[in-house]
Amino acid sequence: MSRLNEKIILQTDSIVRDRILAASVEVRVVSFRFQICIVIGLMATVIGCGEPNAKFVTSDRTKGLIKEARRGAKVEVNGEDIKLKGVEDYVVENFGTPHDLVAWLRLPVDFGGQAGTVATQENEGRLKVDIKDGSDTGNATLVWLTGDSAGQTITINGYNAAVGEIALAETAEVAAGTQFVISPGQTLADGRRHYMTHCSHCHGTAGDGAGPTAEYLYPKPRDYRKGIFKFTRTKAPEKITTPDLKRIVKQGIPGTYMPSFMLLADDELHAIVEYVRFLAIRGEYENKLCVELEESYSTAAVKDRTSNDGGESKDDIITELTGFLAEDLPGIADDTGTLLAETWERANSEESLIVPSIARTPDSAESRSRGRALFLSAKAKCANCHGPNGLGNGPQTEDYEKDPVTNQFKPLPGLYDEWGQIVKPRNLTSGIYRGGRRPIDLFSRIHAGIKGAKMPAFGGSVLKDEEIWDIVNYVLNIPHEVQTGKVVAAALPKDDKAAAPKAVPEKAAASTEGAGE
Amino acid sequence: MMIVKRISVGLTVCGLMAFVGGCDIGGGASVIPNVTVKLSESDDTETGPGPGPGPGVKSTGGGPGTLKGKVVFEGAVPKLADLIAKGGAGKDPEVCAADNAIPNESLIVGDGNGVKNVFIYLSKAPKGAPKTEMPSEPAIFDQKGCQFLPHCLLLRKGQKLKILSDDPIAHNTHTFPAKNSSFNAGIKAGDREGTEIVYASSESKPFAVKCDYHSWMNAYHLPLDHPYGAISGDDGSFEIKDVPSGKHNFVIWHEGAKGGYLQRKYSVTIKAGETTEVSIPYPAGKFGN
Repeated sequence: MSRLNEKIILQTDSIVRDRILAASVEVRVVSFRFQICIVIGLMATVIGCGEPNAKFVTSDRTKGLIKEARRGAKVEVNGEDIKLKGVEDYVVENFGTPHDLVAWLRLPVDFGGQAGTVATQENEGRLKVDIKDGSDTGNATLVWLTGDSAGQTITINGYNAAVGEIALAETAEVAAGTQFVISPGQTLADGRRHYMTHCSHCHGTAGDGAGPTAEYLYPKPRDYRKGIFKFTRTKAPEKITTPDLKRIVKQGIPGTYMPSFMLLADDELHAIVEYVRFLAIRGEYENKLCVELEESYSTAAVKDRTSNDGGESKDDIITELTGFLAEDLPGIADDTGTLLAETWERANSEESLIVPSIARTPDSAESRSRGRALFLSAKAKCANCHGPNGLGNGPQTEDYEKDPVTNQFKPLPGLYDEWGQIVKPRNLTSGIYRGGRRPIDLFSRIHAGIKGAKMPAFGGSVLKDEEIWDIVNYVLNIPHEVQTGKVVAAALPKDDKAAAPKAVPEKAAASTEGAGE
Repeated sequence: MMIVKRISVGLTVCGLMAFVGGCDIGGGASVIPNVTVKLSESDDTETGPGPGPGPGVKSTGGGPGTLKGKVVFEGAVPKLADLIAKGGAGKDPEVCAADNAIPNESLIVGDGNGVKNVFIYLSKAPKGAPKTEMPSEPAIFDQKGCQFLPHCLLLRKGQKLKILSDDPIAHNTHTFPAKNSSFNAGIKAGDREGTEIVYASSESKPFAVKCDYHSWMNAYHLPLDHPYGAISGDDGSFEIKDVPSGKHNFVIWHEGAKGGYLQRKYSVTIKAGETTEVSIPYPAGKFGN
């Protein structure tokens, strides 16, 4: 076998060698035309990859709006042209572009830099300041957050942490109590750099989950722009916490293409997580502004309104939109920023966190049996999606859903998530848990559901905390069951043998029959 | 000669590709971006260039009036088959559709061809409208026989919404709002105490609420930040009281209408202290779901 291979390789080699020899003889007579081609090709290869122009892509929702709603409109007031801002203007104003980022301090994102307060002005060139846990800097920029110069940036010659002094590059008069940040946006800039290196090829520059690699992956990389992340330790209506995101970046998501970034330094992880939160809030902001406009000013809505049925004229609609852009949208954009700041901040607060009211029930055959009974019960209906044996093939996966907006049946059966993808209920026999395998991770999944997916929240109303722990104990044991669906009889609670679950319980069997309804 | 030709063509193509698009891979990781700081305070306080003719309509002063009306189906009323025949549920048949068939509620036509479950509302409160009190009672959203009750619900932004269940099996309530964050939680069997939720934002049109276990179960909710809205009753009639006088554009929305809107701007002038009566036509051709 190997001799044959060698022979083929030798033969191939000799053919190639002959060709190269022939080519080298002929190369001298290559026409000028081809030399030019080669030169252009080489030059383009070498210099073509200068700094690429990274862009935050405009969302499809924004693209669906009419031009004036997207990019604003100009109106003339008293002979002066005034520009009214559209959705894209607000997004750029508050979040910037990949090359010119905006650190909007209203948002609960750690943009970086050292924040402090002026204590006293020593002399024209020196300020005594209070910076908590400050560290020395050389030349740096400083932005004033309060006082007369609020929002202005200056250059400083350095900050000496030992004496708590800033050396100003230019003389300035600053009142005591003025707040400032040295090197503002440092974490955001770092986050962008690390994100573009490690994350953007799947998640995309704007966090739209559509990087160049994305089309080859299943499940798809998360599109952050809805502000929804699946695996959180927060209660059902709350957003993901910063520690949740950090854990996901560090551990990866088992069973998907999301790898572990355990080898990144802590400050790198921190910068990436803050940048991801920045992108998520940016996307959500864009989305929310679109929602305000698209019912009346999307291309489709305007087409409908100007149709024979609608009976409105395009000019009237534009005049109406101009009024909306002038009077309503500024307030809405402002409120949207505040609302997002509140919800993202609340996610990190203690009251949003899921804390089991009781400690985990020690894992035992009794607890697992109770968990299994619940898993199959009409009360929790776990088997409806995960299947009676936990294979992720419950009858619900065969059901045709109706789109909540269009009310039309989806083309394929299955469970759709908020991103329009069919998601499979977890096959619990594999022992791979995307949201983490610690008991508290599974507890959180059952308590709060999987956000953006069909898994509902069971905590609070349907299941008590001790019942959730029983299910956790059962689910963690499924991959190790000697025979799927069999609980050893001896392990069952003594007085409860009659109610012991059978291998294929009647309830689950009944609902399997109903799969094709 | 051929090889050189191929190499040169190949190089050119590669180079041009890299030049044109290929470079976006990696997306400029080496670029150090500028960061501009934007302060927290809102800076959008400057007013726009005078009042434009916005969609909200100014109140002309004077007292409020009442809008009374009826949505009337025009043409042959389509007969819709039941979603689930009595006793014919494929899932939980001992509860779902056990006592009654589950009707298709996307068009319910009653006495005098009146259409039920049409939302009539202002997209926003008129300027100068008085502050109104929030209803102290929570809105109730129940389910029985695997059907949501009511099928259409109008409530206020910030008002408590109590989700109940009168069925001996588990349901889940899954909302699909545009602005509010979606809610998806299990509702335990026979829960008469209820799970309370609140819509933090108003919405510009009704959104679907579903139970994922029972895919036929659906309902529509609309939270508004003002009281100027109603849902038509069994005979298609509705009444909105205390509407500030002036010209208003009402949104007329129905789940069965093509695209949802029966009328995007239904213009009505309300006179102080008077009741304005209207009849809103629902042409058969508009029904499309």
